[in-house]
Amino acid sequence: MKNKTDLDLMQLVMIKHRPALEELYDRYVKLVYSFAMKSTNDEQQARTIVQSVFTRLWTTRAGYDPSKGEYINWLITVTRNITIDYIRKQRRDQTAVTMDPEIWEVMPDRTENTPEHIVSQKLIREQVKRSYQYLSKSQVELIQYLYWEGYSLREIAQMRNEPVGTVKSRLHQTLKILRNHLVHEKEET
Amino acid sequence: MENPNCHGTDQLIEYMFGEINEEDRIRIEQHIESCQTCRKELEEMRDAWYAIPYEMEEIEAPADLKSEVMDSIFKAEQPVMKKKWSMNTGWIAAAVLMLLLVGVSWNNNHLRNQLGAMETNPSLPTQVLQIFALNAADSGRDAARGSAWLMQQGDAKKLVFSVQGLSQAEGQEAYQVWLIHNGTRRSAGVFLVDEQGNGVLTYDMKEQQAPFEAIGITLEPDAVGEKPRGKKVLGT
Repeated sequence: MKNKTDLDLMQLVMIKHRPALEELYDRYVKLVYSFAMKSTNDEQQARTIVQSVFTRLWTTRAGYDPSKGEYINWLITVTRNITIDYIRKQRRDQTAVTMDPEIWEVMPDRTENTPEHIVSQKLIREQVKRSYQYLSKSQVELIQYLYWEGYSLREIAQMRNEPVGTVKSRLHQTLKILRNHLVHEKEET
Repeated sequence: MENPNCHGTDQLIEYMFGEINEEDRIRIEQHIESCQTCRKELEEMRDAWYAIPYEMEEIEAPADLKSEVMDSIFKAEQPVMKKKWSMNTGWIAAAVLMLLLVGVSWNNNHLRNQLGAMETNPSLPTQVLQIFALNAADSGRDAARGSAWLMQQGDAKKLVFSVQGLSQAEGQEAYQVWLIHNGTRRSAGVFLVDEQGNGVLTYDMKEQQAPFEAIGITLEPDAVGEKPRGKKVLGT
């Protein structure tokens, strides 16, 4: 199991091979748990979310399609959708729009599980952390509400008593700053 | 945004987050198809959006969480696993009973009578259509042997296997049964053996399935292969 790729493991999971699911758990529980903690800041809720994510991996019919991007980004999207659904239910807010789960497809394809890939993951991590230094307090707060807690742009505008347009242009600036600090692999090649 | 037909970034953001009405969504989608500037803008915003989780500090999950998660998943799954392996208790009981019969010098009539008494549906007697003897593929390990019965009950046909003298599979390994027809092999299921080297398996024959003339059993590196990869241990 240890030397299988994420794709191999997902294919085994699709035919209900338990050790493959356990291996995926070992590889990614830290990521999923950290994500859920960042969103909920509550251990019990994070545990519930981890359980939902791995149950989804076990029961998914659609599965992971490698032509559409990296496994880790697919998993992050699954995790975010489940997390946001969960905390929106907690907020009893049924009016918010769920973010389109198909959006992850646009991510560029990279080879997984290679040393280069692991280095590139680490590089992205460093780049993103560095770029956060350039964000203002209100930009960081916007990301917390929008990305991690799943509020819609309109809800954030209401909460902050600002026009939606202001929130949108702040988001645009924020994404631009992040983007400018990412060395893009597409441009390197 | 030099193209006068381009939308402002506000609209691209609305589109990206699905906070847009259907009419505008279709309009923007069509525009993006043909406008490289807007497409690039959108892709860059999405790249940035996907980079956000990389900022988070990773923390260790609680150690006891794994068993909690796995228990909840596999408790719900158990009936499905049973079905998948077609390990119906009635048939296992039948196979075990037959295993006991193997040791004694039996004759066909005797076996037919025994099987008649084991019917799972009282109105439909079980009949043995054919018996296959399985011998060790490696003559140095002739302790391994087994039998397979092709049985019919009503319209349903089943193959029941019993083997003895096999060594226990290690790790992910499993024994797998192959039905051979004109040189092609199809899997009839996987099984494990107990400490004494005994194993049983039942296999439901489907009406449309091709006939077979031989049987092989291999020791596979895992239970999920579709073609034999491991060493042959028993065969007709």
